This record gives sequence, C-alpha cells and structure tokens, in this order.
Amino acid sequence: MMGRVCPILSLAVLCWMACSCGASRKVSALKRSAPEVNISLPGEKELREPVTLERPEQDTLVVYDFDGRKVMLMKAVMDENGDMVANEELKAAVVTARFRNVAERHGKVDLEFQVTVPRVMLEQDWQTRFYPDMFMLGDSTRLDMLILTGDQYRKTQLRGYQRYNNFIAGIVSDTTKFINLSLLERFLQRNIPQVYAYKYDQSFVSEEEFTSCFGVTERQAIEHYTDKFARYLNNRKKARMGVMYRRYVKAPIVTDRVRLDTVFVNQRGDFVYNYVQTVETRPNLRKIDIVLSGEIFRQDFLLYNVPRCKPLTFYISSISTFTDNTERYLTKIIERRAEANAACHIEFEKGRWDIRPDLGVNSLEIGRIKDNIREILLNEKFDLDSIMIRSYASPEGSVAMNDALSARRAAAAREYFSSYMSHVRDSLRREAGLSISVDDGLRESDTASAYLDQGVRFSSRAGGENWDLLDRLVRADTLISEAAREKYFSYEGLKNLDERENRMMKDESYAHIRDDLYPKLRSVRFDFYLHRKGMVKDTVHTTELDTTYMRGVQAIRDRDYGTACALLGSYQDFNSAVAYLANDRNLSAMRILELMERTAVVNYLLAILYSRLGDEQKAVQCYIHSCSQDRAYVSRGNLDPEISRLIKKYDLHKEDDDFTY
Amino acid sequence: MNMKRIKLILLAVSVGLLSSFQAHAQKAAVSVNAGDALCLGTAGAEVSYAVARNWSLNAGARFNPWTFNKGDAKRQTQLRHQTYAVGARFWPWYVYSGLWFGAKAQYQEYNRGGFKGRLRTEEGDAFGLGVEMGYSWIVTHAFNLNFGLGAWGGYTEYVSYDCPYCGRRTGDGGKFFILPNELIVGLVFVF
Repeated sequence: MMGRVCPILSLAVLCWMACSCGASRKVSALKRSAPEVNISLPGEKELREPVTLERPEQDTLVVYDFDGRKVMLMKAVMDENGDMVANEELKAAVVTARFRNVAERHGKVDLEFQVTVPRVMLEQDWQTRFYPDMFMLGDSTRLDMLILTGDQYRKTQLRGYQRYNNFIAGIVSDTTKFINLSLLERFLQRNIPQVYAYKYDQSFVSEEEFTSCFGVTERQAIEHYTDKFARYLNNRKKARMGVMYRRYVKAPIVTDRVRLDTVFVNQRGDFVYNYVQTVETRPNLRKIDIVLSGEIFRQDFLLYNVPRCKPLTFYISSISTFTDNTERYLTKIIERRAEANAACHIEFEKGRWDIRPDLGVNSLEIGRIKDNIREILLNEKFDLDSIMIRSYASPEGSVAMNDALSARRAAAAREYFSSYMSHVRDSLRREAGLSISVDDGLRESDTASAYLDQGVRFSSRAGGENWDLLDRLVRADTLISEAAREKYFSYEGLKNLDERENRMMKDESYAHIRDDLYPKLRSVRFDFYLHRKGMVKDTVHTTELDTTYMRGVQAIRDRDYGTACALLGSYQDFNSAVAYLANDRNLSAMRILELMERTAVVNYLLAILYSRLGDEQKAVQCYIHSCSQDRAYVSRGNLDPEISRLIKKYDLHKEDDDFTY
Repeated sequence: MNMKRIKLILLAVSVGLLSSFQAHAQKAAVSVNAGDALCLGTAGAEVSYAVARNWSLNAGARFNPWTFNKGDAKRQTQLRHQTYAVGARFWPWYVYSGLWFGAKAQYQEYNRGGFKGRLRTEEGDAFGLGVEMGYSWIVTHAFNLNFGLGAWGGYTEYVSYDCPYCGRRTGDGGKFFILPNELIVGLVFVF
C-alpha cells in the first residue's frame, strides 16, 4: 500500500507546485512588463504606435563649387516680388489631446472619460480595482471605483460567504430551544400549578412570583431544565462570529462607493469603460484633473499596484464670466422741502393781545416754542424758510371781535418771537467767532455767515373762533351725554356763529364746555417751513452701494443662479439677463437683451439664446456680429456647447482657419 | 382471599381519596414496581411522602407467596418472602423529579431456593440497610416512571436445607450478607 501511495502523493505535490509556479509566473510577468491603465477622452483614440523619431531629413545642402565658394542648395519658390525665397517644409507632429473644455450649466459639469484596461491585468483568479481621483482647487476627491473581478475570484468569494452562512445557520437564536419544555411543563403542572394555570391566560400577571410548596420558583425550574452545555457552546459560537467571518470571508464583496463591479468570464482584448461623473462647480473653479490608479488582488492579497496614469484635464467655462462687475448705487428721491409744526397754548388776558410770560403756564409754553426755534436754527440738515403763526380764539364774544383779537394776538406773537430769533442768531454769530486769515484780514467765519444769510419770513394770521377744534373735542368728550351732544351738533347748520353760540349757552352742558373745552381753543399754532441744507434740486443720487444688486451679482459668480434671479429680477438690466440665461429662463433674458444696445457681449449672449430656442439663423448672425466686434468671442465660441454646435455644423471658423495658419 | 380482597379495596379507596386532593400540593406518592414481578411474581407497593424540597420518606412492602412446581424435587423453585422497609430518598433537584439516592432499613422473612438449578434452600429473617439510586422521569403531572437499582446488606438468622422440597437441614445460624436488593422499573402515582 505504501508503495502505491508514495508516487501518487509525490505526483500530487509536484502538480500543486507547478500550478502555483504558473500563477506566480503570471505575477512576475506582470511586474516585469509594468502595464499601464489608460484614461482618454471618449471618441478620440490614442495612438497605439509611438511616433518613431527618424533621422531628421536634410533639406539643405552645402556644396562647394569649383571656385571653392560655399553654395547652399535648398528648395525655393518665387514670391510676389519676383524674388526667390527659401521654402521650408515642416513635418507635422502628432499631439494627443489630454484636455477638454467643458461648459458648466445649472451649476454642474459633466466629466466624461474612457478607461482602457490592458488584457494582461485581467486574470480569472484576480480582482483588479481602479480608483479615479479628481483634483480641483488644490483639493482631491476619490471618485467611485471600478472593480473588475475574475470568475474564479468571485467563485471563491461566494464560497467563503457560503461557509460563513453555514456557520451562522448552526447558531441557535431561539434560546428556548435549550429548555426541555415538555419536562418543564409537567414539572410546573405538578409542583407550581398556579403558574401552569396561566399557560393560556393572556391577562396581565402581577409581579408576585409563584413558588412550589417547597419554595422553588419557576425561574429555578427553567434554569434546571435548560441544557446548559449546549447553551454554552452556542454562546461560544455567537462570540466567535467575527473571527469566523474573517476566517471564511477573506475577500468580502465591496459595494460601497463602487461605480462598476463586473465579473468577466472570458475576456478577450482590453476592457474599455466610459466613466461619466457629474460634478457641482464652485466659484473660481477653472480646471479639474482626473488621475487613475489601481490595485490587483488575489484573494485578499495585494499582488500589484498599478502605477498612476497620465492625468486628464478638463477646463471649465461658465456663463457667470459674462457678468458686468461695475458697482451700482442706489437712487433715492429726497424731497427738498419739509415741514414741522408745533402748537402752544399761550394765555392772553381777556380782550388783550400782549404776551405775558408770567400768566399761567405761559412761561413753559413760550420756553417750549423758543427751544423749538433754537433747535431748528441749529439743525444741520435743514434750513428755515419761513414761520407762519396762527392764533385762535374761543367762541366767547362776537365773531368780528374775535377775528380782530386773534389777528392782533398773532401779530404780537410774531413780534415777540422774531425778536427772540434775531437775538439767537446774534449770539450764534458771536459763538462761531471770527477767523483770522493771513491775506484778507479779519473775516467772519463761514458758519456764521450761513446764519446771517437766512432770510426768514415771519408771518402771522388770524384764526378766529376755532369751531373745528371744538367740534372735534365735543365728539370725543366722554363727559357729555349723548343727548347733549346731539343738541350741540344740531346747531351745526347755523351759519351765524354768534347765533350758534347763543343757542349753546342755554344748554346744560355749556358750563362744562366753557370751563373745560374753551381753554384748549385759545392756542397759537406755529408752522415751520424748512428745506434741506445745500439742496437746490428736488431729487438726489446717493453714494450708497446697492447691496441687493451686488449680492445678486456675487450669487451669479458663486454659481447660485436661483438666488441671483430672485435678487436681480427687479432690475431688468444686463446682469439680470445673465442670471436668467444661466438659469435657463431664456425668454426673460431675451426680453431684456433685445432692447439693449448690441455690443459684442450682448450679441454673443443673444447668439446663445437663439441657439437654445432653435433659431439657428439668428444665432449664427448674432455670433458673427459679435466676432467681428470682438475677436475674443471666436475662441469663446468653442467653449459654449450651444455655439460650438453651430460652429461645427456650419463650419463657421473655416475662414479663420485659413487665415490663422 | 377475603383478607386480600379487603386489602385491595382499602388500597383502591385510599388511592382514590388521595388523588382527589389534586389542587393540593403534591407531596405524597404511591409506587408499584414491575421489577418486583420479575422476581418470580412478587407483589409490592410503596408509599412515600415528600418532607422537603430534596427529601422524601418512604415505606414499602413486598410479598411473594408463590411456590412453583411444588412437589417436584428437581424443579421446585420458590422465592417466598415478605419484606418491609422504611427509607429516605435524597433528590438533588426536587422530590419526584429526576435523579435520586436512597437508603432504607429493611426486614425480610424469606424462604428461597431452587432457582438456577441450585437446590440449596435457605429460609430465615434478615435485617439490614440498603442503598439505592435511580431516576424518576415525569410522565404527567400525576405519575412518573421510576428506574433504579438497589443493594442491601445486614444480618440474617437462617436455616438452610438440602433442597427446596425436602427437610434436610444443612446449616443454621446467623451471618452477615450483602445482596442485590431490587431492580426498579415502576410506576409512581404522585398526589
């Protein structure tokens, strides 16, 4: 038996060694050839054969003629002047584009590139992973990875999962399985019958524990009839779940942040995948670099690190670059003129019109008016134009008499206060002081002259008997009964005010009206008419920045187009058109731009709009106008897909190509 | 016969009375042993009473009046005896549930001989102490299946004869002995 076993055994060992040799041979071949994964722009095929550098061809010969002089022989053509000029031919060099221009729309950019994986990196029992990294603004992000799994690798993975599942299946989750329920039940039925009585009872059981006649509780019984050893083994299994997982599932299936996880069975040729990533743009984002690196695994063992490929660059263009960044100021309409008024109750003696500061509360009232006048004179914003004084009287006495009296009283007030005012102005002048300048001698300071220049008109008017105010007071008075009030207002129609007064005097409410309401009627009203200092015109433009507008423009630059539309909508100017355009609200943008003067930028934006709306004729026309106005838009046209589409379709740059090369 | 009948009736009545106390805590038990019957048709019964969670006291009797093939000198076999015992059992978990160990004091008046071809017959009175252990399996709340083995040893005053049939004495006196006592495969009624 030993004789037969030995050769079989040695053969088996040799076979196994050969297999593993084969596998490691593949790895070493991989490492030696150092293949690279490639990313390229879709639609463009990279040159497979590198351009061979041949020996540069000589197109110039130096010969010596029989005189010994050096002659240079080269190709020549005749130019327009009839001279022979040397003509040099340059062999074209082939350049593969490693960058692409993409336009940002609605705050997002689509980056599209093609990943080509060489066949030599793909084997049945390997898993190849590729990690695309995106570099923008000094920050790098790892995009979702690509996983290419060999058939055998996947089978091994699944087998590991299967073994782990078998292990899990062996764990009992229902702990009551370890209890010998039948025996327990019979024991309870015999010894703790109260508990057994609850077997089918679903009502609430009190906390009191039932015991047998010898003090054995149900819990103790359960514990006794449990197979403790089996339970211990089960718990041990549960505790080892993690360990077993790691032992069985050596290479778990990755699902997090994976763009593609494909299993290939029979891979012929290279593996090509089109990767598309939509990225939200940020302000100041000009370009994005994409780089691909990778790893090859067998089981959980890292075989090979795929070196980083050459980066692919995407240049990002945006509509937000069209914003007009000049500052905008608020316009406000400010009235030149303003008014202020004050009423005061200056008491006069009956029938007299001289102002007595010692009478009643006159000193307080007069003081108040004086303060008002002084304040207005000192006010820096406003200048005093004129003051109107109106004096009123109470209805006692005849109308004619009261008119004359109130006129005289108003005049007296005018005299009194105008003298006060000139006194104030004098003292202000004295306070402002004199300034000495070297060349002109003594001169009044500028501030004082301002006060002097005021030509303030002071006029007075008689207000007569103040029936309007009396009506208002009676209406609002709570101490007058409704009947009395009705009676009072029934006299309203009387044109003859004296007659009215006589009728009123007969009412019972007259006493109250005379004592409480009449004093309020004897007042003097001051109206101050002012204008803003230094203003000649009626409206003014401020130097305040229009912050809403600036915020709107900043929102466009920050690619927050929704907010920009909301903020700029009401202005209906160029920047609002840009915001509408960026937010795809084409008709709103059109409405603004069509009415504007057709500069190069307006023409260009209109071209984009017409292209979006499908009117290609107008789009091309506007674009051509824009290019002729500003050459920069020729190259800008390539960046916006709406225009580049038209350029390709109608070959708009053909004439330019002929000229520039 | 009448005595026997009366005894049987008394037993049945007491069993009935005791079993009517269902709601009561079940402490008392009566057991019969089929293993007894193997011993050439012994009839036996035992009553026991649980005094604590782990202890029960029991008292039992066995009776075998049978003589087989009487008169046949070669084939006569008898294992006649009457045995009375009192004992105590220790139940590690709970009375009448599971494993148990017992000890008892036993008196046996016996006359045995003729089985397995051995003609020597012995009769006498034996006193002794026995030990046993077994397992009682709960079948329903009212009865168990009891399994066990017992052995006993003590002192006997005996007379031995030549054969089961004849009366030739071959010896007498007193001696110590150790013998297997019983094989228990029985039914226990718990009240």
